[in-house]
Amino acid sequence: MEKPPAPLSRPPWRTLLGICALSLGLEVLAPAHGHFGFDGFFGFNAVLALASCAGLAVLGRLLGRLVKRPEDYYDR
Amino acid sequence: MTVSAQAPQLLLLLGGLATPFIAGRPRDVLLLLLAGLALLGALTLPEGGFGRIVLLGHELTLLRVDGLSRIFGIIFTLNACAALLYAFGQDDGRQSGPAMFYVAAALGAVFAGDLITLYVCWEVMAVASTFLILARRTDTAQKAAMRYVLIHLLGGLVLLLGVALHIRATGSVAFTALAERTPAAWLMLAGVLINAAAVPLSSWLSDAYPEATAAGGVFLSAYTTKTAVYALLRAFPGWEVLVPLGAAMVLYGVVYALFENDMRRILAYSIINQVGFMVLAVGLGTAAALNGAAAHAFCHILYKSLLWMSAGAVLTMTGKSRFTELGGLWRRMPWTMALGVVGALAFMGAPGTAAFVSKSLIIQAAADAHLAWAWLVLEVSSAAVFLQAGMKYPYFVFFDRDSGLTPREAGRPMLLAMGLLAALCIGLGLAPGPVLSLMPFPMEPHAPFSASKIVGQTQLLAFGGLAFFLLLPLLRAARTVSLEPDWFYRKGAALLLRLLDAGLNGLNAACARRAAAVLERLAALFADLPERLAASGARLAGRLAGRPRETREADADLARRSLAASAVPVGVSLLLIIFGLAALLAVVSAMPQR
Amino acid sequence: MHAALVAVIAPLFGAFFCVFSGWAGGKREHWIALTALALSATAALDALLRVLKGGPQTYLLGNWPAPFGIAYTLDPLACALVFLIAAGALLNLWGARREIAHRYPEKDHTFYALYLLAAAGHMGMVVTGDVFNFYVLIEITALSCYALISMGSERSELASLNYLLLGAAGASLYLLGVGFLYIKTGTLNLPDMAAILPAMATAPAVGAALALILLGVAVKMGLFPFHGWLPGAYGEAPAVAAGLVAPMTTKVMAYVLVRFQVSLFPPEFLRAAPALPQIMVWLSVAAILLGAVMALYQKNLRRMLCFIVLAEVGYMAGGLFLGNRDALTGTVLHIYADLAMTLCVFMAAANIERRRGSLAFEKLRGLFGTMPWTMAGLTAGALSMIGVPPFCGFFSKWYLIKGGMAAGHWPFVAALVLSSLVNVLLFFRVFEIAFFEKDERPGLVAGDVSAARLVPLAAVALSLPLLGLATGQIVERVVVPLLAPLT
Repeated sequence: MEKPPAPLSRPPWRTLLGICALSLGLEVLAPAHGHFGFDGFFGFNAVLALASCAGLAVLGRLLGRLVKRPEDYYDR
Repeated sequence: MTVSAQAPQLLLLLGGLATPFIAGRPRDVLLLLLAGLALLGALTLPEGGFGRIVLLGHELTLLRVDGLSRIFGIIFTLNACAALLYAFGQDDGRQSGPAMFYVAAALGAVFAGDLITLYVCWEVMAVASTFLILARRTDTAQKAAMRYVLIHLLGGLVLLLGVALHIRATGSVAFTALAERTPAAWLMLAGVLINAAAVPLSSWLSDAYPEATAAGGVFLSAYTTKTAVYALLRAFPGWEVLVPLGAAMVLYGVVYALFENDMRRILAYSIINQVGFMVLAVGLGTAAALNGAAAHAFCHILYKSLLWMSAGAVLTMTGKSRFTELGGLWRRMPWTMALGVVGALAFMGAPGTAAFVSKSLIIQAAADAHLAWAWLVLEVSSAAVFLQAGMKYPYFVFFDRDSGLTPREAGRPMLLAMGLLAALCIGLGLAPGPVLSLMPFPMEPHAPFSASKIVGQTQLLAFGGLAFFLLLPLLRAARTVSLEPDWFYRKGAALLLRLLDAGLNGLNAACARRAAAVLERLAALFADLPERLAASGARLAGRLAGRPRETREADADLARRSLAASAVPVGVSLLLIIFGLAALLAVVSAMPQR
Repeated sequence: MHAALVAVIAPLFGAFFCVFSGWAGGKREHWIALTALALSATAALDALLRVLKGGPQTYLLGNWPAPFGIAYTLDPLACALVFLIAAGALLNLWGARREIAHRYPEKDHTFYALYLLAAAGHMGMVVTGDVFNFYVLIEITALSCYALISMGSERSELASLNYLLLGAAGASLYLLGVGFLYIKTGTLNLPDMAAILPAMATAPAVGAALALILLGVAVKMGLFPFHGWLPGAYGEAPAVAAGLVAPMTTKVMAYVLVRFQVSLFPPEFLRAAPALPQIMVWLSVAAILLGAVMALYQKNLRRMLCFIVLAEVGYMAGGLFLGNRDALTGTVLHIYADLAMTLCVFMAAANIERRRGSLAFEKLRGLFGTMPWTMAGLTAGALSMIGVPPFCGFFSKWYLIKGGMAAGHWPFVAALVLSSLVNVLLFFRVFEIAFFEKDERPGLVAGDVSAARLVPLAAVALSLPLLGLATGQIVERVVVPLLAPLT
């Protein structure tokens, strides 16, 4: 596994955080009503997104150790 | 002109038959024209059943037009137009011929009014798509195509058995909703699900689709799976097993895409992921869910073709498809990047794109059915697509680091086709009226753009994007393949055979270690089995006759060699004839006498 | 209605002309043979059209009244089959002139004569309505086939001897059965015998006679376990001869079984001995499975095809003895379909052998690149054998599966499905090898065979979907009238 060279472009942190803040702000204006018990609170989607992505990325790393093989595995 | 002559599949079939005889630009123009006419035909067909013929003792309906088949017919022909535009000027006939047959068969399947027509079209689709994969002419493409056709013909046989049993039991060939869970229905479901790339038989999709050519991938991504979704919508609405199955597909598509290095494989997994949405919706069975599935099939084809087109453009221009080898292409291929990003946004279901409407329909239907866990899976997946084709694909291909590649921008036909689809994605996203009017099942008027939904989705996307960049180091790809259930018939079979070998004392271990294809597996098994049986049989006969050891071995060797030469000694055959005669005479003489 | 007779006689006389031409030192045997077969095919077509329009007919040879003379029974089933045989033999021979001249520089007139005799014999077997005349024609066919097959290498001489011994045993059993029937009924004419037999259906001699006839035809047909001669004979025969013998002989024998089952064996007979059809169906299942397993084992294309033929025999025999309309329809359709598709694949294999010298798998590399048209023909035949619609193989398989399900004989259905899968594996294994194009070995003749060999192959390959699409017509106009007297 080669180490990739340094990224060309840095993530646009400020724009991102700005959009996130905006979306939270919008929710104040248009409150969501949950369908089930647990999804009614403020910022639910934000939490869901962060939790899902983090969880899956970690899961991916773990499973990857189990399931990943070198590229020519099937040809050997 | 009779209605059945207007059938879109007929025009495309003619195009396919014409491809060997015309070449170059004229052919591309002709095919595009035919596809356009086919689209027109699909838009203007009246409702009803046409094209009735009698075959095999049953009345077949070759063209059945109603809301459900119409929506699929329209999107199939539309996609064909876009894909043919994309492939303009690129092909030496090896792709366009099979592609036309493939699309014609897919149309035939969605307009089929009876099970026999459905089966015939199913088989033609399988064979045509195999040739489409083979059009790339690389080693890996050929191997993948062989595995692909085997599994599809197997699925076809399962479907055939189900259809035959069903016809026998009910006497009717009508292709309508199946209410009873008979074994015949389960067999048909299994056959359909193989085409839908349901877990655990979904490996063929991620195995074969990325091996096709750029244009081939665009064609392939749309038809096989969506025809299966159509079949599920038509015949199996509300079958509860589809809900967990769909959820499994959604998760499978997300999880396996996490460690993918090849951009087109990630897109393949994303097909499985989104088809999982549709399968789940069919399982829910309510009118809203079914409409959501149909609408999502429509929108999905739009943005998935767009994504495959952009990936294909990158592949064509750079010759590379791995994330580790790509990056920083936004400067050199700005249009491809922009249009690809539109596709990615649509994939993520951003408000303003067509998929927002259809996805929220499905998610809403899951919520209305009070299936919390299904709803959760769908929501998690909607967020997680960032880690997949939603963000990972465009970011690592067009941004991130500079790969040092210097491709030109994609050709005009490609850009035009992508632009067309992107325009439709956004246009239908902002004004979903046309899609909503096509929805086949009657339901209450539905407000696609409610404030809470838009806000919720925006929040999901915003924080998903944040999460993506926060987790960037974890997401970098590496040069690996992932093990999938097809391990069982690629490597697992080898393992099983090695055990059998050790037990049976054979000498196939060398053979079994060498290649990975399932064909060589079976050949290795059978290569020795008859000989060993013949030799053991000869040894046993020798022992029963009390012959000494050397003679027995010589007999066994003789048996093995004569089997290798496929020569049965005459004496054995004559003995068999005499026994046969004795047996027949015994049977006959046991008849009651006069 | 002399057309039917012309169809059989033309190749017969053609054979004699070939021999004379050979004596006279001429080089015209190929054209004589082609003319004879063309004449035969045209006459057969004429007979078929007449019978389709006017209904079944009987043709009396020499105007001797039945039952004293030999009568030909002409109905759509028989006439269609005669036409297919004549056309098939013609197409198979069409492009083979150079190959035959090359292989048999001294004996080519013999080859043509034997070929025509064999064709005449097959056609005669189909139309005849006299059980002893049938034996005569079996022998004519068999002897010319033995000689044809032995005209290959030394191994083919041994295979032919093998075939001779077993074929003689089968024919003798048949003759013995006919003898018993003659003694009991006093007639050799098929319709006449069919009228007399029901009165004495349970007499032991009649039962024994029918069992002997069944066994004899089964041996000639190559039904398991009497198939020992088949792989060797068809596998070692020279290519052109194999193209005649492999598609035709087994199908004609299956036709004979159908004819006897429908027109001769009285229904009481089969009802009184239900074990008989049961055994035959199980033997068919075994034939299908054995054919599948052994075919997977082969490393040579021709051998693989021979074992597929073995499995196809199982299809037809099983369908016949399942005892319901659908299965019988499937058998009849399969007789036609299998004739066409076996001819297609054997002709394609002959073309490959002409270019590559051998049909071993390792010699098949890169064929799709160098011989695209031949491989297209092989693909058509393969798809038909796998059972992909709209090729004819699908329709016959459909009816056989339906018949198997109607009879509740699930092992037969399972064997059919398994055999389809195995055919997929077999052919795609060959296709996989033929796709690898890195075969630039010296000494390989590049390019496809000549048009003279490709055009007939194309004609046969095209007939496969046409036959498939004509299934409805075939069922309506051939099978339904055939089964009408039974209901």
